[in-house]
Amino acid sequence: MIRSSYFRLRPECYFVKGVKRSAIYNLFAGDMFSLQPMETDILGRCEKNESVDAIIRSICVPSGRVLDFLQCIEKKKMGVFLEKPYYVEKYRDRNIFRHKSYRRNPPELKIGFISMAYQCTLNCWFCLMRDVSRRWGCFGCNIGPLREGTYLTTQEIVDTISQLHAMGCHTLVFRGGDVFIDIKKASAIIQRARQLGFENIFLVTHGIFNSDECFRLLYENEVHPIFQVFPPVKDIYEKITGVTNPLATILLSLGRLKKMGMPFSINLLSEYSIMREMKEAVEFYKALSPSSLLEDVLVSSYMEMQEDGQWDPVKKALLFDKKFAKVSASSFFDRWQFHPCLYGKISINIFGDVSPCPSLYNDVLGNVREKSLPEIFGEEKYQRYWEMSKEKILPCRSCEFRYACDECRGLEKWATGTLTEIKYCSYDLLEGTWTSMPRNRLNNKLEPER
Amino acid sequence: MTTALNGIFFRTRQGNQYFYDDQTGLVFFCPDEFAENLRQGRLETQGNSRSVIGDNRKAEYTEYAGELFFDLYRDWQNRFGAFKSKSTVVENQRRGVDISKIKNYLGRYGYTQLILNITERCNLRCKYCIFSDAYPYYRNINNNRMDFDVAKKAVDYYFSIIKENMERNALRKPTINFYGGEPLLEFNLIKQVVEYVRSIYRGDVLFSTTTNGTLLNNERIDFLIKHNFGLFISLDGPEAEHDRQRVDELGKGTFKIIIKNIKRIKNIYPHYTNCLILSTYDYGTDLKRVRRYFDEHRNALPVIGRVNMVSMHATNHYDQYNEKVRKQFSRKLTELKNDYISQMKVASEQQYSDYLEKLIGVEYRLIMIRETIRLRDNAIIRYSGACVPGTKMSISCDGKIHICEKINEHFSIGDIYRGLDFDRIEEIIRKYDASCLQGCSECSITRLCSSCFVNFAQNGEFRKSDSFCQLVNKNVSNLLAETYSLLEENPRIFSRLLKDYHNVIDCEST
Repeated sequence: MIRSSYFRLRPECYFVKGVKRSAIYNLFAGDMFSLQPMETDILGRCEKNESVDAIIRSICVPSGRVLDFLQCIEKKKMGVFLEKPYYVEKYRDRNIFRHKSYRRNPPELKIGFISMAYQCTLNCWFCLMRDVSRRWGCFGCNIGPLREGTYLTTQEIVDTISQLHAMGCHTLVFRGGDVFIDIKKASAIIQRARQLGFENIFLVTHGIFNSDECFRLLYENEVHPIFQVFPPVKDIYEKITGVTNPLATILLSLGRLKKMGMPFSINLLSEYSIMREMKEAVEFYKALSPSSLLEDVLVSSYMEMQEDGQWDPVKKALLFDKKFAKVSASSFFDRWQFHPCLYGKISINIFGDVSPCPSLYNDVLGNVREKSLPEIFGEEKYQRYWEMSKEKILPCRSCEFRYACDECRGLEKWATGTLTEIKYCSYDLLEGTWTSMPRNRLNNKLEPER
Repeated sequence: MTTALNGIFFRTRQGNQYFYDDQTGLVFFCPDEFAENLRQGRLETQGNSRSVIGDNRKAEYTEYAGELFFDLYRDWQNRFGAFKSKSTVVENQRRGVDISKIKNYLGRYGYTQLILNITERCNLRCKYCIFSDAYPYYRNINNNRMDFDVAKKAVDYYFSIIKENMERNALRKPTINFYGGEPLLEFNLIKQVVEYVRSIYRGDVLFSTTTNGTLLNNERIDFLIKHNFGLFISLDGPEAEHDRQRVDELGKGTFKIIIKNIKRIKNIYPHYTNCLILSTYDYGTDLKRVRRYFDEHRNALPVIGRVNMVSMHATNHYDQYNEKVRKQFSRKLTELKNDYISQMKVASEQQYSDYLEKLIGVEYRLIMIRETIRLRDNAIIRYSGACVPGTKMSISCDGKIHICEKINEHFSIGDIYRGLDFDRIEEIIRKYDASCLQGCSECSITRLCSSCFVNFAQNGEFRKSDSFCQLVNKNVSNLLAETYSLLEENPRIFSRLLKDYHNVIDCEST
């Protein structure tokens, strides 16, 4: 029966071809599978409606292997044998063509980053340094570009978030500096944001709250704090922040939030000299049950050389510890249409400069004191960022993992000088191999990629 | 017991059966074994049966298919409510009309185009013109023209709305279309309006005009192209075909003069891509001859923008064609469809017939890119393809605002002095709903229905003929069958057909 039939992936499963290999994305189960070149050839032909029999006859592989492979996909509920060559319409969760058409939909502004303070009570060595970047820059604190200028007033920030709200933005991330350094200002802005009806309000903080009002403000306005932390070792903390024992205060803040039953997240930042402390640090912070824990890493240009033939640990972390998040329909189609790191974002720093993302703080596209946000946003130069996609990044456009892969354009631009190149990727497209693998990805067992 | 499903079954040329599910908008392959299970409503009542793989006996395939059916389709039912019986479909809750919803919708999706009907005069008397006697509910050609003051006021109002709603859609590009009658009879007014718009708005504005092409001299061409006008010129095919319908006041054909003017454009601006041909046909058109003409002259003519059928709504235009002519037309159309399918199978892109693409391919493409899972953006009008009044604003010479340039003048939605009348918009939507959409909850192709106000508008009322829905159902069913026949023969046509138009990413090529 099988030999004389046709084999097609189910509607929810996408076959994405790379240069040598390919991947199956199962949008229901959330898995992605990497296929060998021969498997790629077989499945590619199946998807073009060639019969199984015709495929077996035309390739130099025992028929049993072909059938085993297809049955393996079938057993994983990703494909079906059919008597006739049907067309299998693929699942789409949206009109993927609309944004290209003349009457395209209005933009979906998903997340706005607002810098509320330029000063900070800590003095972290990397803050303001131009030759340093990081993996998750947008969810960590950084006081922004070193420049002269007048800070946005409370009213100006309130006006800005009102514009964001009117533009349909539903998530705000307040950043600093120390957001609570001017509690009156923070209070007015956060309360206004809540009144406007933003669905999610996040606040990035180093965790040193100098009054009860800070806790009350977070609690009453349902603000989700993201703690920018380092490995919980007193000496390390002091070395990085330049302040005597901030760790104790930060741990007290975390403890108090936990006691209040408030959710919080952790951005754990490491760097070259403290990579070995990270494993324990992760365990320590995980024990506090944060809503999420980001393992961030500082990258500086002078740290990327190899030492004694060994990978620099930071570079190694960026290159090889890449994990694919679970695939979903929305993430798959988002990546299909846009660059996941840039689409839907807008960032406004304390001077009113607008950039597409906090990590691309040098890409200033306007200033809220000179133009309204919709005006800045509607300009072509802004839209170039929103229209960026994996298809415009040269190696990525041919990679089978392109609809599952996360990478930070801010970091890559910092490293390569352009928006359309990638440095921190160790996948060799032409060979279909990873330069060095911490685990065995390329197996025949069709195990999901993670 | 057979269940009435919320969708329709159809078969391709190859005899394969599919099910179009109106709840999700998706088409599922549906072997006969599957179809029977669906029809009997077994998806909701039975569990999986044993899987049998590895034998070529029919009975075992049937059993395999049975198991597969439950396994595959139940997931879709659980996640998205696919394959539901008609009786269990709850009418969509989010749809419904009120003024705040209308304003909010238009703020995000509306105001796409200001259409200035700058004159009701025309130097031609095309036999199928909606302003001819063949269309009793439309005005006739007359000497009314728009004053600059009216045009200026319309532009001011349009830009004030755009500005007011900028936060809701920062990417909306103001678009102004000059329509008529023949708009080039009022060329000075066009110039005045363009200059005025340039003086009040710094951003990008899209201008366009739809013209019969007879009045295009060098000065006009220079001006229109300098301002990057979308220039839509009507040309119905070779001389005999074109002159059959498109004649001047004396009944004389206009082909020669139009071709002369098109050549003028091609000579002076050979690389101008914003000039497009609009071609119209009716039962009397020899489609094969028209196709041959456009194919043979593809390098000498602008690209074809659209191929439209003469409006069939409330007209006696088609009374002139007897059954024999209709059948002949239908036969030729079928032959062209076959040509199109062959073209898609074998021809290189350079050999494609642009005319066939616009006559036939467009409809297939619309099926392929239809909205699935989510409902259409239009959450205001329960069913059909009607856009919310205010999506376009068509201004008549006297300053009244109309739903679009194609609807008769009995449905104005405000005027340029007092602005859009949202009470009136609501009233029109309610009237439309009451007159035309009452039976739609019983329909199984609601997502694919493209009918709109224009199809039903009469003297201030909407009327739907008894056979209308039957005809739409039949057309949609045929269209689905034809589209999926094409896709079956070459699954990659989906990417190929859409790539040029929508920059689709092709998963299977690198």
